Amino acid sequence: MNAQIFALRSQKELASTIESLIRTYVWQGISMERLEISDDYNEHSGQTEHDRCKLFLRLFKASMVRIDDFAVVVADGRGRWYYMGARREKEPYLLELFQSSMSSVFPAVAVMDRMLILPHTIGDAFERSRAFPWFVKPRDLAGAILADFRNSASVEDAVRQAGEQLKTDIAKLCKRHMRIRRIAKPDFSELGTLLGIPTEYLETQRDQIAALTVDLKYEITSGPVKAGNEAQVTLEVRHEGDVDLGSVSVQVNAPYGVMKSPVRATLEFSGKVAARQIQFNVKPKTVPFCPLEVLFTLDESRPVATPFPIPILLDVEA
Amino acid sequence: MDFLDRTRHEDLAKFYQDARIVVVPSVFEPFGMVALEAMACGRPVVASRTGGLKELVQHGETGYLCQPKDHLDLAQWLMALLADESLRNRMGQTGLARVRSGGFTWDEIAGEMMDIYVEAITNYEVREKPAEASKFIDQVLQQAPPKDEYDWRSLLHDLFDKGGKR
Repeated sequence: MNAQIFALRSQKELASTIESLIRTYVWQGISMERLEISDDYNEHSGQTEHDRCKLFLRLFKASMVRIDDFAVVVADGRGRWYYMGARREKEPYLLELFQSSMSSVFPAVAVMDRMLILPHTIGDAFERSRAFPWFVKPRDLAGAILADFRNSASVEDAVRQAGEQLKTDIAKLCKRHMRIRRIAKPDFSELGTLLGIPTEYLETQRDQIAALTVDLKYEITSGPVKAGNEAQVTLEVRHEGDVDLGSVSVQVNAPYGVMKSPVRATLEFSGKVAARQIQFNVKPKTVPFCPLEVLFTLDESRPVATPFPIPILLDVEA
Repeated sequence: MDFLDRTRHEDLAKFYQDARIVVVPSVFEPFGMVALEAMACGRPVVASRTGGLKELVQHGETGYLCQPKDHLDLAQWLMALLADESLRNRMGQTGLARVRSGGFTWDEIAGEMMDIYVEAITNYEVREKPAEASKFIDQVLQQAPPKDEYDWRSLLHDLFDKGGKR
């Protein structure tokens, strides 16, 4: 897990404050990289600074809503112009940034390859940008928080928000990972490898992530069926948790040829309703059991995770 | 769950005999030597209905066949066998008998292979070169580099018509 602080050379003290806040509100063990850029950034600033500016532009562009691609040209106010990142590719638009306005763009903070904090003045930083409509996405839509870096309370609040956003995003990713891999408990080892996050960080979020699963119980209430005969089965689904689940999509799978197709139903668990029933037909092939599998899916906006498939054994008699 | 390391071939029989059931859940299997070895050790086999396994395992006789990638289908046949020792023994013995009588020894396989070669040689026919083949050969020769043209000409005429013009 890494963070990058893009800051001007004159912003050393501010960068130190941001670093300390990130360790407090994001994670103590985060790997921190300070990427300094000259206040009078120009074509002679060296390849290292050009590379830092290229990285900044890549992350900045990803945090924006914009009509097309653009390059930034830095002006020194004496008629000289330098492409930020030392070169222009085929970007159709060009934004001008005066060296005197560099502090409207920096410092900027990226965490895990995502721009998370930008100065609140960034909207006024570029000249001649009227013909190029753009804005920074909000933080909950993969965008950035806009902070007033002259106000320490605003900086602290922005870093705190960034920490919260990361926790929420990682919990969502963990929820999705559990669903796709169909696992009952978070696999921090695999998730950590996939996201490039140390398991130690994920462990600190375990309570939040593990509390996301919902507790549904299943039982076949219709009794045993006979092998080779078609019979109706009643499956009762009970919800014993406190969370109001709303609509839950349920799918029942059976071995090949036992059902004509998987059973799909939508069950409503609103208010005090605790139990719902689904009925379907099966034609089991062999004794003593017919293994069934129940999956349910919730609207992903809900604060609970979809558990792994639940195996159920249907008793089969000769 | 034990994941065995590479195992010597002469030790395999012991592993098969230690198992109550041998499962071959392949998604694709050209022949299915594992299933055959298990049957030779008197063990019932639950295998995917794919490739050579479909021919080797007789559903309901020497084991069970399940749909590839259908874990529920696999589970139901495993549970059926795990719950019935006499069924396991009967299927294991039927499998062993099938291996012994089914033409699976090296001598028998070599004999069958020989028959295929003999039939191919005996029934070999020289066919007239069709008009489309001539056109195709001309097109290929036009594309071939000059120094390779002779090799291509000879190869293509041999393929289509041994007695054709060179």
